[in-house]
Amino acid sequence: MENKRITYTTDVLVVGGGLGGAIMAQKLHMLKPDVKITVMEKGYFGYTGQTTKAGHGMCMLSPEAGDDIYAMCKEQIEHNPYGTYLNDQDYLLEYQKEQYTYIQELERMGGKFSHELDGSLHHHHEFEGKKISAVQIDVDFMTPFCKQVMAGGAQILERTYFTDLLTNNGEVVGAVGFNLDTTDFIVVRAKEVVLAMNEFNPSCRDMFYAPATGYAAAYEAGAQLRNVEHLTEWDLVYRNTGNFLYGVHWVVSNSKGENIFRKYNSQSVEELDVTLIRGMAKELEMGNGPLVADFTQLPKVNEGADGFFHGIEMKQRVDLDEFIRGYQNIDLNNPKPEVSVSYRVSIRSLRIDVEGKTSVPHLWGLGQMTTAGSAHGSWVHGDGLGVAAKTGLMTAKAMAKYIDDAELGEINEEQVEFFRKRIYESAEYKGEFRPDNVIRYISRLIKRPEFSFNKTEESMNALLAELQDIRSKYKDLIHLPKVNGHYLAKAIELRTMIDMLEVMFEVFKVRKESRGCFSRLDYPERDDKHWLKWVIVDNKSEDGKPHIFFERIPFERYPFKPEGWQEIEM
Amino acid sequence: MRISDLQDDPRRMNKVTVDPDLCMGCMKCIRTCCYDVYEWDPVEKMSTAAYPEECASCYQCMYFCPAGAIKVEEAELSFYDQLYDPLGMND
Repeated sequence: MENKRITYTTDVLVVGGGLGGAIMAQKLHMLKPDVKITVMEKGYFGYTGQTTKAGHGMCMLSPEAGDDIYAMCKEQIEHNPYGTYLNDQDYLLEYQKEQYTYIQELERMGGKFSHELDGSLHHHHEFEGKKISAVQIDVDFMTPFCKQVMAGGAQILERTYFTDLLTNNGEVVGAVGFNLDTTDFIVVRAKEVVLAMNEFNPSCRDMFYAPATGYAAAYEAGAQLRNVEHLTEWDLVYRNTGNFLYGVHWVVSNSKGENIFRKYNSQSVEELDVTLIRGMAKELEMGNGPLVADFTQLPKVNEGADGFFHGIEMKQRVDLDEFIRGYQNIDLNNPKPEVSVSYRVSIRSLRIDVEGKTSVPHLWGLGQMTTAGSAHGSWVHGDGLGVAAKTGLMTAKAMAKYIDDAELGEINEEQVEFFRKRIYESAEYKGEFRPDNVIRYISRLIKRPEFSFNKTEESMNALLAELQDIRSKYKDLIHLPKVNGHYLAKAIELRTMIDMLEVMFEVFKVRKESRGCFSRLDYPERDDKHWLKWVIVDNKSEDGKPHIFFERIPFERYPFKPEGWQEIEM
Repeated sequence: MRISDLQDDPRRMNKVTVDPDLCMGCMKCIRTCCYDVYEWDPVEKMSTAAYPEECASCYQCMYFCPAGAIKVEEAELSFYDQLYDPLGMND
């Protein structure tokens, strides 16, 4: 391997060419045509990201709800299972302000949404009884944005795998990575770097698997992560294929025909709560399996789904859906298919302020990787694309204010050399297994009940000990079957996965309560008096362990205050 | 960690194949795959399913292939089942 070094210089580097990155780049170009933009993408620009896979809609305030943004925010803060009351309300209000106009803005930029015959925007209620509507898009929604980014003269580094951020005196001055096809070493000097990447989701062989590389790089560069513990969730799935079954968890029954949702007095018809999950696990332990979704208990007409596939801009989406269903091992005529749950551990915790800035100068964040970190809580199950689009616009507008005064920082060649060595070092490993074998082992490990819905201080210590054990020996365990970009990337994913899981479980241990989807067996109750505060983590401790500290939530200036907020103990 | 836990479990792996007689080398599958399952074979001038262990059953490659050259066969146990597996009910 020669690993030739190629250095680029740019004004703004956008890492990640999904919907958020593309919209951000296009909007910035519209506002500042002279700014040189570079997009770094590990796949092919326009083909990657969740838009082209799971894309179906974006959420906005339902027109029937009028323009009562405060009511919508209240709903998000009080009933959001992902960190109830732990929102950054400044961010949330700013985010919700452009509820209608952001869809119009996207349309002006080339985005296509479904319309009614009279020309009005087609929308449907995503969740019964909530103030949220969804507008529909097709799987090629991203194409016009990508085309315009390229027409605007942006430089696109395709097949380039981002690995690390370059820093100088605590400020970000660029990024490094390598080309997946040629394994060339890529160095990009930039005035501003925007991370527009996915969450870290270590779930196993799943549509939502996403590596920790982006977080690990931001964390290593000194960025703060906030609300790390607040994006875990469960989905009801077919037991054989793992495909999701949305909105029917309240008809899960055991082999005796008993309804588990009612038997264990589960409360949430919207999301699977921990009461239901523990109930399902208990039924299996008692020998009352298998568990089935009893469709015969569903009402004949599902009003909530009305209009879901109605949009004229969803033809390919619907077609693709039917195509996929034809090949999956799912018997659609079976009224009682076997079900299980899929635990999703996501870190979306890169802390940003209302403008999209992280805690490190010249480093910005947007989209999925910031939904919990910005603590806006406006992400609802199914609105990943809305978040990407809206934060993409917000970040571009904020950056346009600063980019004229930004200067190119000097890069530290020693640091560049350190990163270069670390990227290619796995080529020398002589172990027995492929990196993805160990990745898979770890993903399965963290999904075990004692580390997910029944976690305790003791079980998490055991897991951390195991992670440390794997860290100490993974270099002897793995080898790269071929020294190429694919396996180099996998080895990096394994290393960063261990690093970030350690951070994650250290934070899980600190929060001694259960709140929404964050659940502990040893602290089963929500404890507002002690835990209505943010847990922040960064790497600024001297012993190399995650540096975890608390931050007061400024409820005195927030419009929505929980009961007893004056008595919160820090 | 047991060594057996690290080995490939064929029951959990998708089977992905590209028919060399049908593939016309348009690279659509390489472009659509988010998990880098495919690789370009510069000698045969066609796409190969080099890393099927990464397949997440999104079926986009198969859907977008204009020649119908791709076949994705879903694994017997497509995902790790956290409720049943710890009880040994999938073994």
